[in-house]
Amino acid sequence: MTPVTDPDDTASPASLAALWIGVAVVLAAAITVAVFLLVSMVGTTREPFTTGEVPRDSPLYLRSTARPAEVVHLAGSGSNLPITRALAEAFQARSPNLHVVVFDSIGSTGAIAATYDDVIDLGLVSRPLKDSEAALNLLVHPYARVPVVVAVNLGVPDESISTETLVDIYAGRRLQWSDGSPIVVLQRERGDSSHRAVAQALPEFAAVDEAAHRAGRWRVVESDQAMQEALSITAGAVGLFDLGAIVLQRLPVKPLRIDEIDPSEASVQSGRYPFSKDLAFISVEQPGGAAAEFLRFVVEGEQGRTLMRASGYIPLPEDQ
Amino acid sequence: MSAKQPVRTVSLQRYLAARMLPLAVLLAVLVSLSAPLAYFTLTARTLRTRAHATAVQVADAISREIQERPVLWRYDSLKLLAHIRAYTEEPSIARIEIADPAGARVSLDPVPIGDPTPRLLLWESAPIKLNAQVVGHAWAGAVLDEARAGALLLLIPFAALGIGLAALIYFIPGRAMARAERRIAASQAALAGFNQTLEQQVAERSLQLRGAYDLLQAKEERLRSLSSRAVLLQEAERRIIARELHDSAGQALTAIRINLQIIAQLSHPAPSDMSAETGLSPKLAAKIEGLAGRTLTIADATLEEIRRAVSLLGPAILDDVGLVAAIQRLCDDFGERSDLRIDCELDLPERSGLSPALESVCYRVAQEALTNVARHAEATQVDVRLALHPHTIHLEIRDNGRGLDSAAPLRPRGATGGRGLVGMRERVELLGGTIQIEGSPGAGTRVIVDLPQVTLSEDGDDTAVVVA
Repeated sequence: MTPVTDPDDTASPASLAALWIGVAVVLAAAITVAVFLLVSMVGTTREPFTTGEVPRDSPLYLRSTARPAEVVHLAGSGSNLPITRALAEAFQARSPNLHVVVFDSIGSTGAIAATYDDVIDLGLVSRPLKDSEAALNLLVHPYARVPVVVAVNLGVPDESISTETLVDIYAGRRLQWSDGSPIVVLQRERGDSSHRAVAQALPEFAAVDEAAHRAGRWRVVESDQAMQEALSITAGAVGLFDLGAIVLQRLPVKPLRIDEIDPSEASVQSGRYPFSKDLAFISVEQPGGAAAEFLRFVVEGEQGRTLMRASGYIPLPEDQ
Repeated sequence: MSAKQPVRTVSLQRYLAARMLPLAVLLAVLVSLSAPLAYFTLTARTLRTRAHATAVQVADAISREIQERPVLWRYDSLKLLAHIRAYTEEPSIARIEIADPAGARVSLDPVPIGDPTPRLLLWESAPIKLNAQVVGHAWAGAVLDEARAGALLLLIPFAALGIGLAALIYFIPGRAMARAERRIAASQAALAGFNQTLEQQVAERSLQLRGAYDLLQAKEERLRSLSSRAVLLQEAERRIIARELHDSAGQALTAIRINLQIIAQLSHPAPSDMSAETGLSPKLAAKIEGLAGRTLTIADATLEEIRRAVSLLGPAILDDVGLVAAIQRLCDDFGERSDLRIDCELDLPERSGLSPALESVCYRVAQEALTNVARHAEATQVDVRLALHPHTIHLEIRDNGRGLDSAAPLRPRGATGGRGLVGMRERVELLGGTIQIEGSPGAGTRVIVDLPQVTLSEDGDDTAVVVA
């Protein structure tokens, strides 16, 4: 390239340096703005709350008012609610001065925690305690055993089902009832006591039930109330439910026989009918007052046991 | 013409490239980063809004549970958790947490709601209210994966765009400048050719002019020499004429005058000398006496004219006493007449061999300078120096008077004329000499004259040349 005279050449190093400085300043300003935007928008990995024990007087943990001695508060698994409410009604009819309040379902897990926290007098559980729960040294008072049935909508023509078919249905391998109508599977959330009872007796079911949960294959209903409503209204619906709740509440759903065996007290007690679960009260210590009266009415009283048996439940402890 | 000056040169393309480079870098960085950054910022803002909406929904759900089941709500956590976990199915919501008013996390479930992996989250909260009282906060953490992935995705094409644009603004002006440089180079080459031709023409013309100038100078030198010689000859001739007038005509007229006086006396003998009879009639004697008297008057007038002519032709004193004594006498006379203190330093040998013209000029310059000093300078001290150098005569007259007028440097302050100084300059320059008149107001005046020692003959006797 032909060099030519540069009239401004003597000033060029300074002007070039000034140009670079200007570019650096603009870039620095842009980076500053960008960093400011990022910092204000991005947030932080640091969690904005502390971990640790929540104070007992926290507004989130407001307790109920002190319970009078003639009032018993019960809460727990939805499986326990129908028979417990029936028992409470019978108990109050016999002892009008005592009051039994059965709250809506909080589940077996909630019942254990609420009992331990002394929020309620008696907790209602429909499954065995886990090791961590057993470590709380709560007293368990079993009072009923209830067959777990495969319940279907009244429109389903089938009357019986084999365990293999049950597994195939939940695995999605069988999609139609015997008349060709589609099967609508209603699944309960993980930890449901009915599913746990079936899974305990039928390991293949446990596998397909968990696989269906992971795949999100079926509708999942969160409560016994929702299950009974869904079974009643959904054509071709099938779900696991308590026989006692169906009988006691005269629900418009049909329990199927398992391998041609009826879910009767005899078949359950003999073990021929494979699916059942035990209902129990739990308490921190041996109940006293109205709670003790109610507990004796249910466990020892003939009226209570007759009521349970008449409602499709098997009273516990078993008759000798 | 003068020699070529060394010039600093630089390539215009490199010059431009050096200045375009920072601008190109700036453009590349800004274009590459601005769109991804804007996308990231807007997406983060959207995620923040989404997290806040989720937190509000969770807070509402919990608030409703608390209101409906004041104590037992938190023991029914499984269903509540299932409800809350449904919000985390939204890919951008990574975690949901509940905290009491003091900020302590409330664990509804041992298993965290959402992905517990520590990572960068945008946390937004909403208050959980019970009867208008804030009993806790629901927090929702939005994950920035979507914003980051989108920004990175945008970064690639925008970086390419930025680099492309930077390359364009870097290379296009450079190429244009390269073309311009080629044109300039071609123009310069053509110009160099023209320049070379022009230089040759100028050199030839300069050579011709130098020849003409040398010729002119030689002629001028010759003219000056002739002028000088003419002046020398003129001065020598004037000296000869003056001497001749003084020696011949003056002596003759003096003799005539004496004879006329004798004639007059003889025509009218004294009474004491009656014995000496003239034999002339009284009338004739009276006529002779009258004629002799008138002739005597004419002779006297002629003699005076001759004396004045001799004086005009040349300072007779130079012939009488020589240059040194003449200037010394001049200084003495001016000193006496003008009340000046005049120091003379006349360093000239007895037989200096100066031509009459040089002596006349030196004498007249000194005379004119001293006259100016006496008339205009108002000086008290005058120094007169005369020195003979190997080839020149140096004459310097310096006073401590008022100095020269700044408006007219060749005119002494207060002088109205100036013909004297002009005359001095002409006399000196005709003999090939130089005259400098220096001075400033209040600092006196200095007249410096340098004259070459020119003569018509080797021994300085110009009159001999004239006579020959």
